[in-house]
Amino acid sequence: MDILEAIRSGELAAGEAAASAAESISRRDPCGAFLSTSDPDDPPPGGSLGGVPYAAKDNMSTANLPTTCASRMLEDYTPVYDATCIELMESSGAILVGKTNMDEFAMGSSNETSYFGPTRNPWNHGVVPGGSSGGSAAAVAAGMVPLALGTDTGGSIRQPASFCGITGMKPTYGAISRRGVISFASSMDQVGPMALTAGDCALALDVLVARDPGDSTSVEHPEGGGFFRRVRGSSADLSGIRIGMPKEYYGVGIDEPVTEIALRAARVFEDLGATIEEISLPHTEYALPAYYVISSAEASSNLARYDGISYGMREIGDDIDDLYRNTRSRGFGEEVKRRIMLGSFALSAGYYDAFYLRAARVRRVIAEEIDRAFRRYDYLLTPTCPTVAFPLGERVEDPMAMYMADVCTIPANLAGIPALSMPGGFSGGLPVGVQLMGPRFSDGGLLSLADVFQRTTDHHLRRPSDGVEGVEP
Amino acid sequence: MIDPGAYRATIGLEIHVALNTRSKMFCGCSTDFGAPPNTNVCPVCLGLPGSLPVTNSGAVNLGIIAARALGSQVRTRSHFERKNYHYPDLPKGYQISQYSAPLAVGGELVLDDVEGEGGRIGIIRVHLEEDAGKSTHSADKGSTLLDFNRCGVPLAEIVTEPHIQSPGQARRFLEELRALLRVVGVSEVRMEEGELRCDVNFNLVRCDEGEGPVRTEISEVKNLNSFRSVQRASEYELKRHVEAVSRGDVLEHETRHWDEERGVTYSARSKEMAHDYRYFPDPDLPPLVIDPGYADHLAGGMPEPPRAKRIRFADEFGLSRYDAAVLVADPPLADFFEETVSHGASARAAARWITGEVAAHLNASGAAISDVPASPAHLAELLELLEAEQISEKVAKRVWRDVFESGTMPRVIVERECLAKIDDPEELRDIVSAVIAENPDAAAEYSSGKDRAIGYLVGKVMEDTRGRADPRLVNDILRDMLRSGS
Repeated sequence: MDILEAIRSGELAAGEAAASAAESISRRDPCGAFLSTSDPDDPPPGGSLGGVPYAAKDNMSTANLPTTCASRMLEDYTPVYDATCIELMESSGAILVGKTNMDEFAMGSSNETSYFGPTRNPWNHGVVPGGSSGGSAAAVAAGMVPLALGTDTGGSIRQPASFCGITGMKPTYGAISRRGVISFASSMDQVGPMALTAGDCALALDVLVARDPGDSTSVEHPEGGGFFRRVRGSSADLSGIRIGMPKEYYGVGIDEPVTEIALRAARVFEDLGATIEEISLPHTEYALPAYYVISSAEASSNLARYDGISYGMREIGDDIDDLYRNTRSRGFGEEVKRRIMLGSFALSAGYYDAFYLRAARVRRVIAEEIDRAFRRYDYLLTPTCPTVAFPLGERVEDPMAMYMADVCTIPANLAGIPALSMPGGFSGGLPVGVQLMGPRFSDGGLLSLADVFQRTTDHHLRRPSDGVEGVEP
Repeated sequence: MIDPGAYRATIGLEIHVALNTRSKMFCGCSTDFGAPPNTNVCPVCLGLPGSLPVTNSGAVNLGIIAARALGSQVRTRSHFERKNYHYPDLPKGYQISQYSAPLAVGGELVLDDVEGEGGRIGIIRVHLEEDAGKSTHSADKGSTLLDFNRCGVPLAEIVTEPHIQSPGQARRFLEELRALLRVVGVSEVRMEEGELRCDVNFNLVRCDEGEGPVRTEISEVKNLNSFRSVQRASEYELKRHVEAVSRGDVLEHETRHWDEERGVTYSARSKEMAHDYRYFPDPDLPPLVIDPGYADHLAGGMPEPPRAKRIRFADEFGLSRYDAAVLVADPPLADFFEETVSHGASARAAARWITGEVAAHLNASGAAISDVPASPAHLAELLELLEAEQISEKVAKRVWRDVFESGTMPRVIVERECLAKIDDPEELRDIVSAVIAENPDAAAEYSSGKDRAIGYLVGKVMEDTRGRADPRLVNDILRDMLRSGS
């Protein structure tokens, strides 16, 4: 049953569903998906999502729940205000049942950099759920909530959606307000929905997409408000739709079964009437290095505020510099410190031109290349990740291998375009996602395409209870 | 031996001016000065996680006006950057400022040639930024109090070319800049509220061929908050650099602080010099795109700059440079002057009265010209009575006192209190003969050749007429009557 059916059936009435969801999460969370749970008492007045329980990633400010970014630095921090996306969800009648685990400050692709310990994949507790929105993905996959919010800076919604067998979308940059969402890399951070189906994601977009005067980078979306209607009204006849398959996403480093699943998805679209063509985006190989330079540079500045002065953790010292050093050395984990150092270096005198400025130019070239592709193609179809979910601990000591997990998702962040991951099949008992990308503001079209796919396939209907392997923690 | 006389001082200023907005640069908090600590704050200016800046367009407008008033070219596209450094009163760990693409570039401020301190001082750039909070280091060792009320207050930073050649000229520049910024409404420039802070970049440059270094290394004296300390710190640096050159010492490029009490500058810790601010475009803020037509529109409504007004007052009204300068330095008085003249008063008389009697009454009462009942129409009428010699200067002053307090028209006061000049010879003869009769000794002294006695008698007549008599006429009549012995 999808969210809309559940609302119509009255199953969610009076917040009972949310209350029982919150209650069961606080009793049993075998995957470690949640960092905190709320105690929903007063059901808000019914709106378009009246009574729907949902989870939010723990980098979204909530005035009544701790917001930790899964960092020791913010272990005891509770914001004084709600993020705009939280306000919008509340005004739609949705009920926040808890905050989900994540990679520390959203830096990671496995949820293993969380200070509070990793989340496990509901399909197999021995493998990672992906990251950084791994807690949100696991919560949806495990059926704890029908909807969760994540953030995606380089793939942090789509990659865990792929690993956990759900649908996750990163909308057009600026479509959803970032106000109150704790910044990692401001020019790429984007809030998005994670749910079982594209239709449920569209329901969430109808609530979340709005120009926010409190976020100078937010934009007026030309389709704002009509996503779900568009998805439900979309035709299963894809004649005239042109889908490009950039060959750079199907080459070296992409596991064979993953490639095979993406090709099978292409055949599904072809059978529905779409034209599928192989294309080339030759600058794709530069996306990963450009992304790590730009995102780390922005992060090094965004995370400067965690200094032990006004809020968050403080480790005292002999003088102010000592206090900063102690606080930041102990408050941040290894991956966060690695990126702060990388980013500070990329911005430093004498290296700015060679690193930050060059990365910014590469970003522009990649964005232009993608824009050009959209003059001939309506959408692009690629694998979401090179592999299925990998075993816990496998890549912790190998940052480069970890970074490769985002190689297919990063270009959409650099270009600011919408992209989603939807379940496309299974390999070795683990879900495999397929990624769809579209031009700016094609969010409705992308979701419609995914919905058409989900009308003719059943990968998204398989739930992990059928095939949990591995060990319970 | 190196001759320090072969060198001249070279000074560049970096001036931070608080813009006259009601709310902060990137949030809606009030900019009011003097509120209890940490009451004008919100998640944005406190830099709380997830908060985002939204540019105050009013501050941008004032920045554009400041730039245009200085003849700077407002760029059609500029952007904000982050200046990264850690300090407890900088809650985000960076200051939002402008760097590689400032709001405006170029421009100049011209100083009148007074005491050889005139000249054109070039402007390098004008940019926008946010202020930091305020740290108060408590006497109780090791504790610092933070007040974030000022954090996020909009500032314009104005950077001059190193065209200033003396400490006195540096001060003149700041005075002229303050007058300009006040007139165009960019800032109130309240020094006591820290609305203008200045960094002085000082060195010596050799004027001709000869022995010794071509220039000394630059000293950056930071954060001076009065014109006097800018001048004194510059004087101190001048002396220090001259002494170093004379001795053959080599100075280092360094940051220095000013000790107001001891009257010396001292080197900042070398660590502060090692800052790499890692500027980069702020990804939270879109670029500032300013249509030239929009900047023209803002500049079009700008009041006349002080220097143009001084020149006009001298040319159009024939005022002395001094009177023009005094009037223009006080814009409401300058307006009062122009209105008085427009009511038909003589410009010179109006200027003399406004800088004299009018200013004196305002000073004594502590009131602003806009708050007192006396208007330009009052003054113009008073000056007309004076001009027509219907009242004496002395009476005029008395009448003005009344006008200043009551707002009654001068002519009404003169008539009501019978203050008009007595210029009827017959009437005066009666008064004079009465005075002679009452002062036989003085009359006798005059007759015996003591000319001085006439002054005493004139004074008596003026006293009896409460200043209404024409002293020249009285003098003539007195001499005439005493000579004829009548």
